[in-house]
Amino acid sequence: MNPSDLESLTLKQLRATRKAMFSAQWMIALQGADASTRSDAAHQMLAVNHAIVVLENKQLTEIRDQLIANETDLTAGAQSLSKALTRLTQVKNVLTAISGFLGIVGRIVPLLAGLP
Amino acid sequence: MKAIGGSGFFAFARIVPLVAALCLAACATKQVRVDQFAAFAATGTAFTHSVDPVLTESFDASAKANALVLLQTRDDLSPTDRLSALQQADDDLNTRLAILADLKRHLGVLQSYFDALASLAATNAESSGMTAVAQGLFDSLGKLDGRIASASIAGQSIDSLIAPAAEFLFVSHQSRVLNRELRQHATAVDREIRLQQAALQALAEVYASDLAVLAAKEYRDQVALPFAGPGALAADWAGTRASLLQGALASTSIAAAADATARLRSSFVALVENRLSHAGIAALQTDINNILTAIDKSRAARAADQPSAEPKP
Repeated sequence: MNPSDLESLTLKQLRATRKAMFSAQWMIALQGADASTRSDAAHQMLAVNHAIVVLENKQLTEIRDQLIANETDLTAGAQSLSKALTRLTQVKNVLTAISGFLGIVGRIVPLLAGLP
Repeated sequence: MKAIGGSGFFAFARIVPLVAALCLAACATKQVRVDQFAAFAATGTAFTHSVDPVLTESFDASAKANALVLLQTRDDLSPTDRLSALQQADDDLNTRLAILADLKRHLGVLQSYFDALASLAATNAESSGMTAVAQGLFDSLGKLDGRIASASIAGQSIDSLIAPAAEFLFVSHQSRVLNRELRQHATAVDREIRLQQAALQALAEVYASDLAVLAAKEYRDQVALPFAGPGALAADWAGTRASLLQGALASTSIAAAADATARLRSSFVALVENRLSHAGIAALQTDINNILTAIDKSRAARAADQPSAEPKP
């Protein structure tokens, strides 16, 4: 069993324990217990809950860190797409320049034709 | 201009419809490819929008489960221990909030990628102005030589062929650009979707565990303890029990989001392999709708649980 599996199994058992501590059986058992036992049980419940949240946060932090590490590549991808969009419209710019030039030539040709 | 007016024109005129038909077919194929990118970008955007409230939902459940633990232990702790427990629980939840805030911020980065992809895929010859420029080019050529302005090919005026030709050239170029971008960044996008899936699966387990605590407490207080006790049971006891048992089986928004991420990834693979179908996109859209439906249900249930703001008589 690798550390990740062990962690998942521990988390699963802790979650089941916390859920059991909300059962009627647990509550009835504590009702007949002395103050010291009840105090111990309360501390154990807090410890179980804390361990659950810490392990969950650890799992989420590991994934979060990998996501953040991927941000550079993802952002580069988005920027590359934006640049590609600009290049697509640059095709239009070239055509616009040609069109404008041809417009000028179109005005010059009749003038030249009228020369002796 | 000789090709238009000379004997070669007739041979040219016979070829043009064939070439035009081939171009139209090629254009249609490339347009399908561009549409695949557009559909993937649109569903990707919908996905990121739907995941944001799911993360909020997750925190709400964790905070509630955390509070139930504090409340259940409170009577058996000294005031000093109560404050220590509260402090530790707050610290744990603040750490969770910071992680979720990072995940939400990161969704914005993913959103930017889908937005850029959508913009590139949504652009066409008309919207980019290329058709107008091609028309302008033709008009300019017409000014140089009047025969160009009035020329026709196979019975069709050249003027009427400008827009389809511009569209063909544009879509061909666009499809090539999109494919190139896909190849360049496929690894990063695939890694991103896999990590989103891992995050949502982990959160789905957290959420299920927190909901299980809320449900266990409710079942204990409304069903088990009254049943174990000596008093008479409430008239709706059986109905409450049935409803709580069924509620435990209801699918959650986060589980739906995790399912949708799996589908988003398979859609991305299909896009890379040029086989993304309408059916695949429709299935992904259904998954996203399931997330939204689950969020709506959860919000409605929460609103029903809220005490009325109306002043009591």
